Amino acid sequence: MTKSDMKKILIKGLLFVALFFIVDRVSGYVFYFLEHKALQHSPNGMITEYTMEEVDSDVIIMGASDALHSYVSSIIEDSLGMSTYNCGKDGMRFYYQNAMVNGILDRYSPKLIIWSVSPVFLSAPSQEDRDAISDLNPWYRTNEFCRNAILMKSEFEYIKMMSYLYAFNSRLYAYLYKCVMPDYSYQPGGYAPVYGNLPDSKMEVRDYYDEDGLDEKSSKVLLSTLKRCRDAGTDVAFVLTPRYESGEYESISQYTELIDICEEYDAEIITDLFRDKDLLKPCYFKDAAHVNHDGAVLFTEKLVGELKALF
Amino acid sequence: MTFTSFNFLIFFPVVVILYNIVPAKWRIWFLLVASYFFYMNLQPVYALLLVAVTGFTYFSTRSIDMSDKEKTKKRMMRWGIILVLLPLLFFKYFAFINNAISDALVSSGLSLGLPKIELLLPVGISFYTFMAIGYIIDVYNEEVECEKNIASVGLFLSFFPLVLSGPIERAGNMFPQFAKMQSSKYSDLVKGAKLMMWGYFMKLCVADRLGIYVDAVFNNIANHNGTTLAFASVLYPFQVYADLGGYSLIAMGVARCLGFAVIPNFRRPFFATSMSEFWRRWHMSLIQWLTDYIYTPLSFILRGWKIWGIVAALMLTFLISGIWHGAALTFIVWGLVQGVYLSIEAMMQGKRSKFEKKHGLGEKWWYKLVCCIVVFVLFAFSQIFGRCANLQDASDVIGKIFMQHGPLFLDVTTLGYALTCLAILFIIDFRDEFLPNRFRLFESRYIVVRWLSYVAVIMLILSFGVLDSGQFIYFQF
Amino acid sequence: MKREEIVERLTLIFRKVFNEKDLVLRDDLTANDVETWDSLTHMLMITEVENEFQIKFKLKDLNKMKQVGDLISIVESKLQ
Repeated sequence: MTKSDMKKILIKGLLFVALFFIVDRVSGYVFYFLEHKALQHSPNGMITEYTMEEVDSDVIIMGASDALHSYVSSIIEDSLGMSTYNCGKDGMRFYYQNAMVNGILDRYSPKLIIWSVSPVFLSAPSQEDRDAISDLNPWYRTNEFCRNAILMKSEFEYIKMMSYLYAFNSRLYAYLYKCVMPDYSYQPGGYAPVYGNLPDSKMEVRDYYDEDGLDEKSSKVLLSTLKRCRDAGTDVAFVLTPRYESGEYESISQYTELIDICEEYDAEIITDLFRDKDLLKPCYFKDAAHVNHDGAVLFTEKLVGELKALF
Repeated sequence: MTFTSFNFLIFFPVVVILYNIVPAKWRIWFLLVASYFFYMNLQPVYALLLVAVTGFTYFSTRSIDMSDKEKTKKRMMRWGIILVLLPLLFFKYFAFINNAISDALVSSGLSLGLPKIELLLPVGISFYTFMAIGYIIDVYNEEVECEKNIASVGLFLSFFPLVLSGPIERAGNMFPQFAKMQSSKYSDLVKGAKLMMWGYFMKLCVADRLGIYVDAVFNNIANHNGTTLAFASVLYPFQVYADLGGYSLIAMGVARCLGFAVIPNFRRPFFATSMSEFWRRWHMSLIQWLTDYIYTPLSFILRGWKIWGIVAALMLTFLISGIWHGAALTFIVWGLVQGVYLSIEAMMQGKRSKFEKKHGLGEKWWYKLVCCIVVFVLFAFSQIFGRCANLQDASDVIGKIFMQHGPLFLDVTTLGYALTCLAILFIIDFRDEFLPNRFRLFESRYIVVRWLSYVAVIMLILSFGVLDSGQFIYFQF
Repeated sequence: MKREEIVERLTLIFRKVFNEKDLVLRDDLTANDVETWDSLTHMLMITEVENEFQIKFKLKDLNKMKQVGDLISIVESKLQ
């Protein structure tokens, strides 16, 4: 390659990178604008955005699909006399939920966080779990917890996140759709009922011991979050949300660690309802992992009884 | 490390820069080391297999070259081919045959209870094996001069742009280029970058996105109705085209940046108006290889049988093609179906020409459109066998498509991105096929148009591409 | 046999097998120039040529035929 070729490559290369940098930035701002428009129009469809930027209820329900479909906000609101919002989101695991809680604490201190968990809450995230954290991308630059969660995705994530366009990957149509189409029809308070029954079949036995063990890092992160809650005056109540399963779990490492952490930071953990005899019937479950609307109502009513006793 | 992993985006520029810095006479060793580094990043142990196959190839070709007697040459060629073929047969097919025999014995009561064999397939073995065999035969036929530098032979089989998924190159095309080892010209880098960019678009924006939907349907056949299965079957050929076609373009682009010209693999296959034309546009390097080394000799031997010789040669060639794609009955059926299509077409060629000439159909655009659609439907049907894990699934799918209709399963966002990007791909291919000198974007005379096009494609990749595994369709059944 | 006669007889074969009534043979004619000349019809043509001139090709001969001129030369050499 000749010297003039090399010069040409260098100059053109730098110019092109500069052009791309500008386009990338401008696109980023367009996406931010679209995101806010979509949030105003369809808050139920933009759970992450709503949680990070707008929610201001006294009681927050946090978790994955187990939270979203099992906790009836209106029942809690009526019973405890405090505004309640269900911030659960399908498919999201510990690091996402942790970032949500911290995002909320950045803005205000709720009175109570009801955190829906399973015995293996403190497990290491799978690659899918880490990839799903892309939902937090819009807060990569503004929120330290989101940034740390996102950087767990891959070695080179910090390079990729320099691009605004990359941060908004696969969101354009969702934003456009949510700016225009009607919002998801969840109940007020963000609770999303599901319907359908399990057939009268035998309960699956889940072998918790066969699964991966405790993730130390998750444990440390949870500790600091709970400390933050305590300092802010926010009560935390972990709840083992019912599943249509049986299986020994009381001595697995993730579970005992969770119990220990709760003791250390004065957080409550409600375990009675996990294997509640009234609840564990096929007519109350849509599938092994989720109660249906009838189950959710029954479960929430029992839950508020426990909550009132505790607080 | 594959073309779509981030590591490659670091590996590749480093290799290109170093290649141009290293003195010309060391370049072949540099590329050889880089290629093995690339390969070992994926499967370190199997690099030894690549070395072994290189050794067999080198020694058999040198033996052919050095002997005078026709008989010896033939023997050396046969031994070379057998030795080179053995690893492929073992790793790819031994498990299949062993398990099939085991199943047969169990079901006929002679249970042996032997454990099933699961062998990890060495990456690229199907490709480099074919390249090696092609080279050995070319040397025997005196089509190509025997290469005396073992580094060249080693590089030919391990060349990192080609080793994972082809295109299946020829010794006659690569060795002269290896002999020159020119440094990259400015035009090479630009052309290569353009090829890579478009290849990444095809793979990340079209193929991987379509794949999310197609996988959600085909991995869950029992829960989907015939309408949905039909729709997914229509999308699947586009997915394969964008996947292998995109990957091949990236390979071409990478090689081009280093100053090497590598044969293309696809030429807008969905504009073919007959199955034989389709196979001259789809996976061209494989078809060319099969034609030159299997079909031509076979049809030559069987030429006494006239049209039936052609049919037999076609069936056998595509049977081999099916087997090459995978060790499963579904691939065998897939191959045979292609053979049947082409045989029928060959037998009806005369009648078809007469019919077209009589009604002046050859030039009518709507007739060509109908032909394209027919070819596509036939191909999509055969691809059901390529996609399903076993024959039972394939027959379930086909049965449902004809019998069980219902509401179409849609994932709006996934299909939204997929169809947008597919439409863009289609428009560009349409322009290339019918209006090749107009509406140029990457090749425009105006630098503004070119640069904005590059930016647009990169924007598409960053915002619509499937850049991680977090794009699953969240199901609740 | 003279070259012209070979070309004449080959022309008849080509026109018949490839269904092109007005095809004219040149030395540099290849399959790319004739729409209906592909790997399927190629072997049919080869068989007809063998029958017409009562010769037998070897596979190596086939590989050497890059264009019609080569075919003519090979036929010539086999007739001597």
